[in-house]
Amino acid sequence: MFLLPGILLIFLFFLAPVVITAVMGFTNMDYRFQWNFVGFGNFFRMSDDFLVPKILVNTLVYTFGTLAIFNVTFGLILALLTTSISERVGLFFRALWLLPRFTPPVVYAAIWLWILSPTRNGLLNGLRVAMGLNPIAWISEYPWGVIIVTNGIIGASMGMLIFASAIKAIPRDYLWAARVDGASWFQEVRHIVLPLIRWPLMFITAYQTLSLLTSYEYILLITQGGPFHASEVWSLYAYNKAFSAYAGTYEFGYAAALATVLVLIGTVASIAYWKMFRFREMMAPPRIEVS
Amino acid sequence: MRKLLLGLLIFGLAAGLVAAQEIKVITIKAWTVGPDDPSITRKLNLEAAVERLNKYLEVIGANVRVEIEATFVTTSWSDYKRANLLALQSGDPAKIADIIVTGHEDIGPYAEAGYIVPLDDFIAKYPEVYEDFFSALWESCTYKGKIWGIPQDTEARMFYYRKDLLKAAGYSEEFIESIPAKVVAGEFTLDDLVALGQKLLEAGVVDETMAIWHRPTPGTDWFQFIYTFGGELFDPETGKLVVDKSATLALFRFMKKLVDLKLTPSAMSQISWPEIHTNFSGGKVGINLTGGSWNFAEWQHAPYNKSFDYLWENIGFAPIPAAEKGGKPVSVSHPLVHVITAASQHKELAFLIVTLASAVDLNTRHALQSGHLAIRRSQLSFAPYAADIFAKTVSELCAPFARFSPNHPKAPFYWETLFRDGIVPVEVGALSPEDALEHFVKRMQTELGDEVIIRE
Repeated sequence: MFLLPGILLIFLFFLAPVVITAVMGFTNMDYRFQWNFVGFGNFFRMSDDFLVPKILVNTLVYTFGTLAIFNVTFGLILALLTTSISERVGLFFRALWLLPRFTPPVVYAAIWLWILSPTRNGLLNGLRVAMGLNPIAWISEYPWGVIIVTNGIIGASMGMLIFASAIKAIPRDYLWAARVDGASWFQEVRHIVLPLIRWPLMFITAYQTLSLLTSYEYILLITQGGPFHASEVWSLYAYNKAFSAYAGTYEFGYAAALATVLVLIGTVASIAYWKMFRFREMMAPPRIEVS
Repeated sequence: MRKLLLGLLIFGLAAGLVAAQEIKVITIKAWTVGPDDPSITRKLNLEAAVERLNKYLEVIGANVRVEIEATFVTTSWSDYKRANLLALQSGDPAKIADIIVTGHEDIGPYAEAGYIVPLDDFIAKYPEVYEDFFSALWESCTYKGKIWGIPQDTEARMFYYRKDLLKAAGYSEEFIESIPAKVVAGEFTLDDLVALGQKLLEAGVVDETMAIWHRPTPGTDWFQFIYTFGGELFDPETGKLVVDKSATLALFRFMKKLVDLKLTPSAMSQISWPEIHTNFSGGKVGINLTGGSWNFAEWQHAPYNKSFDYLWENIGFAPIPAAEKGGKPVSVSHPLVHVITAASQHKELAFLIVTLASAVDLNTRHALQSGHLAIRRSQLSFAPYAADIFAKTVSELCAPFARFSPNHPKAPFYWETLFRDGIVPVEVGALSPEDALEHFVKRMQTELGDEVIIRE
């Protein structure tokens, strides 16, 4: 009975949309919003869609690139560095890294568009021209790099926060004991900190994988998936199919089928992480009760 | 008993007085869009129409008044249309406006979905207004033999060039001033336009890749080049879209030429609108290939803040030149329309407001403030319009060559794909023009199936 509100919320906001999306994926619904069922038509169409392989590769590179470079590794480096210096300075730098997350997405994207502008008016190209170099079309030359960096700079702060609080929860005695034994900072990190923040590390990896798989707003604002689909990821492709251009081009049925595939990939990834990282052990009640 | 009767009498009189004075208010909702700021007159004119209507009602002594709740969106067309469609599909009159200002290309899909109503019977009631409209504009409002929208405005697309930069590159004033006439006569072609860009670059008047710029996004503008290269977009007999392979290839080759000659940046699609307008109106870019008449008004407002005199002196314009000598130039027009929704509870009244908002003086105010063109014949002789040299020149130069985007629900997909899967990959060097054509045709066929005819 106490769980009822929670269960209701989960049903309304998590399960119901998935079910509706999945059912819609079997229709050819367009701007007329009619539920005309077409069986597996959209899924066959996906297998014939010659853009799908390119978009799949983009999605994998984007998800695991951002995850490996920024959301986990860079987040961890930030957490380690800001917890190794004085508390006040550490707090200041952590707050600084949270700024991009607090910036409205449209403003954040506008700043990046100025930084990356292919003309000499852009920040990076302005610097290059000042050094006597030619401007570079950053988005054309490095479409993957652009989407990884622009998303990663925001994404790193989540890992940073979780890891920093986990590091601060490590009993100081361990670190003091290590220092008495002559351990260097790297040895402390390698042998004490990392093993003790294993669960948060694995949680962030799993959580951010799923989050990155479905995120596209910054890509939409900064590169629009271009040029020529070079930075278009699966969720953005689904969004574009549903809402790109104007009414006559909206394809809700096909977009829902694409989104359903994403839900399936997310579910498989969750189960894989659950097994691989043995999250059951993390969720298990402690063997001894500490009062 | 007498007291009771007296009481009832007084109550009755008081109630009668209140009833006589009680004024019924009808609220009409309208959605309007810029996205350019100066086009706010799309909203203001509807409000002015309601004000006029209320004045008449007051004079007549009618105990009804009209209120209008109008919105004006300045973000982007796609945001506006997405929000409108999501509200329209709910079918809920509380959520849906009575009047919507939108692009004529929405008439097909909206009519098919039953979101809007045909207006032929309403139009017949006000011949004094609607017979004055330019007949070509009705074509863009017609779908399956019925009229579904009332033209709100129209514009002309053209290329703009910097007269001051051409002069600095060594062209004579006489030549510069003769460009529009030569374009109209078919003597000045797209190749001549390229030559202007090359000269600007060679003379060092503009930096590399700053000679010829174009819009960074898809749009009906790109259809102009299919027309100018001799292609067609629509087959009226079958009602299907047409991909003309040779015209499309000519367009892709033309775009590659602009990039290869270092006239246009390969990353043109990544430059923001404000940067494009700042550089062109500020005299850093020589030619704006895909301009529109509304740009002239835009550049007079923040953040560009150029005076009319400065622009008129330094910037010239003409329709998109023919591809070959002796050919016809082209200017694709994109009329905006007022539509009346099926969900409206006051269709007749909403239509009357649109009719009043189409008054010569109101529409002229809109046209002149926002860089649009007249929709009614009598506007041409209306003093403020006739005295506006920009509106007059655009009407003379471009109107005779006006073409429209096809009224087909998938037309926006066509121009999106033409740009994102054709022009962009050619410009960034991801595909050769020939490969881009193959990819474009394949994508159009895969996505549109038998709704598109491919011609060699």
